[in-house]
Amino acid sequence: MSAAADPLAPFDVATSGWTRRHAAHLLWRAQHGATDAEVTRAHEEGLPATLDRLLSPQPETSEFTAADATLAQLAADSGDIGDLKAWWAHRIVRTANPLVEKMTLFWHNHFATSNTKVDSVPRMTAQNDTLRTHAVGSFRELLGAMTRDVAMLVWLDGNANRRRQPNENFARELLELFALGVGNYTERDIQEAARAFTGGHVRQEKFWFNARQHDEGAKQVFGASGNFDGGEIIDLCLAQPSCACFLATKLLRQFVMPLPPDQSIDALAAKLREQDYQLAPALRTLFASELFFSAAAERSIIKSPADLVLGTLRTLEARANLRPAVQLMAELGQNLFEPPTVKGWEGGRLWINSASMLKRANFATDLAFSDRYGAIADPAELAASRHWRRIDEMLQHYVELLWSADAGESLPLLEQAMSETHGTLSQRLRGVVHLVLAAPRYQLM
Amino acid sequence: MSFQLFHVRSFALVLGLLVAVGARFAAAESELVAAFPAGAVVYGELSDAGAVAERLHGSAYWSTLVDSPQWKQAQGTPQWRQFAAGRTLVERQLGMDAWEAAKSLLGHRVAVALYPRGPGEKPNVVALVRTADAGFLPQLREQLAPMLALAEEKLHVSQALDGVERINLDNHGFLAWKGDWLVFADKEQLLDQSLSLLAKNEGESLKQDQPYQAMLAQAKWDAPPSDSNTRLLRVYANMAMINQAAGGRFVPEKLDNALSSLVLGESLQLASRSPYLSVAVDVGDHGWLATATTAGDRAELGELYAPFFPPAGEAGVKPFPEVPKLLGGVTIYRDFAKWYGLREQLLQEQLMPEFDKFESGLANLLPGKDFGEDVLPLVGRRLTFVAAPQDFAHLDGEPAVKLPGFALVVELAKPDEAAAILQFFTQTLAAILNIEAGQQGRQPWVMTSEAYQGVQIAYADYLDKPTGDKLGIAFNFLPATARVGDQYILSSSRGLCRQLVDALQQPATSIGAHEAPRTIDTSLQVGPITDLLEENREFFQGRMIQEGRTAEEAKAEFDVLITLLRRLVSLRLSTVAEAKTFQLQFAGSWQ
Repeated sequence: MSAAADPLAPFDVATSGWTRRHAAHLLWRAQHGATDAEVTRAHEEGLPATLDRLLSPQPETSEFTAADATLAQLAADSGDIGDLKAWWAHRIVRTANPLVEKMTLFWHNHFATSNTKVDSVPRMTAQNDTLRTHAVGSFRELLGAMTRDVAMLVWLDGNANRRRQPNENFARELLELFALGVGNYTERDIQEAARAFTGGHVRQEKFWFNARQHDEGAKQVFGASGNFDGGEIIDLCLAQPSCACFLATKLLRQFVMPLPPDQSIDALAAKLREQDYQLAPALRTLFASELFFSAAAERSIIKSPADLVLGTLRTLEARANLRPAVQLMAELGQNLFEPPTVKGWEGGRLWINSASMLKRANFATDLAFSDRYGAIADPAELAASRHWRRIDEMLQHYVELLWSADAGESLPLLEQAMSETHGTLSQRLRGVVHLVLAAPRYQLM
Repeated sequence: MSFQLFHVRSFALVLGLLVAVGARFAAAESELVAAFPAGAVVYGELSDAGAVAERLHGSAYWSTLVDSPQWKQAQGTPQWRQFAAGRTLVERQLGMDAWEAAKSLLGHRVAVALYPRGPGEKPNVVALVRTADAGFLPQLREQLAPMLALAEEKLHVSQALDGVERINLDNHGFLAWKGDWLVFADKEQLLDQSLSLLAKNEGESLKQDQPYQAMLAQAKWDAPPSDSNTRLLRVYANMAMINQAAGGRFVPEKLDNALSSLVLGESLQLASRSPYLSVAVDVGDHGWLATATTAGDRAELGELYAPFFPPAGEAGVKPFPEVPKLLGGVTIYRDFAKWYGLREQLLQEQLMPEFDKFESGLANLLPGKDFGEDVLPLVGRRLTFVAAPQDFAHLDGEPAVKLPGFALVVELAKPDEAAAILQFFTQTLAAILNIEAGQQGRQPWVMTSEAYQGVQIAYADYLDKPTGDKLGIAFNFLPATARVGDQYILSSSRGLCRQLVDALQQPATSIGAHEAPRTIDTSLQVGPITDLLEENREFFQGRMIQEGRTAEEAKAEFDVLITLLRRLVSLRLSTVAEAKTFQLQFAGSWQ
């Protein structure tokens, strides 16, 4: 395919340049938020090196490791799902592997499993760890792992799937939601696939293959016949052309734009098949594409509650108050470990309604002026440490950091807003931070 | 389990300020009250605070405090920097260390009184300071002379024939001083009255106010404290004036909260009817006692409040049962059945539907019985709640979050009948919890019993002993019940139930032994509580990390908290119903 016709042709850095704006755009999509230092580093390293870093394991700091272990232990000890949410939120805000956390959340939404039914911190933790292990690895292996995941089996009534009376829940969701998408299978495929998964049970909190309850008979799935088991059903699914298209569509909607062009879906699907569903090469192609950096893609995605709340805490390097933060995310419609249905969070325009807009605005106020969701670095102290003497330098910093853009026409308006507020320099700068966070354009990335 | 660690930390720091005190001071009756005009609504007097501050400054407690992460964090705030800048300016002007200056000025005797103004207006204030060093105020005056000269247009300085210097602070305040005393008032008339009283003993002083006199007669406010302790702080409030300012009654006739009524009903009503409220804080080498006193003639409250007091000659609460390593407890004396019967007169109308709902719900469990008529009269007048460490013998391992065992000891008015009903309640609860356990994949309980020291203990046990070093929080609880004479034990731990059986079978002697009739007694043994906090360190540090601290900061702050708490021995809060007074006592001890 020629470069001109290739919908996922690489972004031409030589022609377009590699600016801080490009770096910020990449990081806000590939992570939850981006600190000033992260944007600077990505800008200085360039696109290929940044992608290498995002897609390969990076060492965590000792501080992160210590806090992560303590929070994980707290969740395990208390058995309180709120503590587990706080643990994950801490990872998202502080990790040196932010793309892994972004993909873990992507898969959590994809294999939507809710603790309201699972009702177990250890089970949800194990599932989360599985999602993280395969987050940017092999989709084939991830899908296989999820057929043996205890939380998933409890969620979709695995123990009720028995030889004489197969339960179709898991098979239906596998085909409809996890692998192929609606309309790419028949009812017969579901029934036969369900037979293949019979006997996959939970016993003493572990996956157990209950041979006595497994249907050993011949099955017919997608036109193929055989004595299929669960693993072979996975292979059959991945061999379907619709699987790669289904996955490609989801990835493009998540990272590029809400309505990706069909040609880009086909191109990414081809890449997935070519790489046997290895995610890292597909993600690299996606993030390095002209389409990703196009004007149509820029600011086309509405920030999810995770992007808004946790992303902002990360960007401003706040001392996050984790439990209130995850509670706010739940109120905004994204309750970690408790997606509303097996379809997960639909997201997009559905994140925005009159109630959530008010809460988003209140979040901006609380973050700028109180410690409710976390303590941001004092703006006046930051200005002193950076030796900023002029007001426009301070304003430019926050606009660049939060809007990923030059202050431009907004600068006089922000200066005027600052001059009209009273109080110390810190209070007035916090007022500007509030204005920037509350602006409609901040809801987009 | 959530734990307000912030409040514990703040409380520990405040207590710690008192912990560092171990000095003896010499203050008996109030020296200054005679210099205050009559009609004060509140009066407070601090004695020998300088020596207290000196001891605190030189104590290990202080060095722990200034080395703490909280202190260092505070030093980074803009408010601290402003304070430090202000201190430097003051020191340069005074030519002396600000700390020493503050001690010299405020460290001997300080008294403040508030006087009422119109509705909604801030009260007037009079303050009097008496220094130990007679040369300090003249020295201070000399240092401030240039500033006074610069502010000549705003300040009016005058000298009286008797040597008193007066300074008018632009009609916003009025100061007078001579020798070793200094008076401030925000109203000139009050200053004049105070000066008359000081110099010539002319005029009506606060000492002659009738509520003040009543307080002196009843509350022993001016009497020397016991056991060579020293009276550090005294506070007096004219309750009649406060009630008037509140538009009639500070406390309504009927309360809007049932628990407040049950626990504090009588103390609130007595306080609102009393002409005075007094507070005295005594400090000794190893402890303190703070006593708040009101006039408390229970006869004035009438039959409506009879449930809150023991009959004349009868003891109120009994001493706490002697349980090894008791963490603490609460014991309360109430005629619960009578209180419940009088609820419509004690509580506001909007609470009544909740009681009706409660009774309807209970009727499902006890068909044919009325809670107020048939169940509550079976219960006696004393309820005791205790907590003590448990041994987790019911597990092959231990829970990740270790809680103490808890127990409620209920005095029974009709032991046989009451014990049967309480046992029925326990069985029903166990059955309900077993259903929940099954749903959550937990081990169910089996109800069984044992004979222990001649007493039948009914308890829950597991079919298979749960195994593990980090079991869930639910594994802290395994209910056990027993009846010892007219005492019924409901416990979360079989071990604690056994200990209570032992304790209740012994003659009553304990840490809570006392003579005066108490209606509520609360005790905390800080050492065992600190041990428990230490055992659950990871849990609390995790919570602190959730709030935004790093792992290192969380550890350091928790270490400071433990160090501060280790200095404390015990805390006690109790109410004492004497014939003519009602007291709330708060006592603490340290090493």
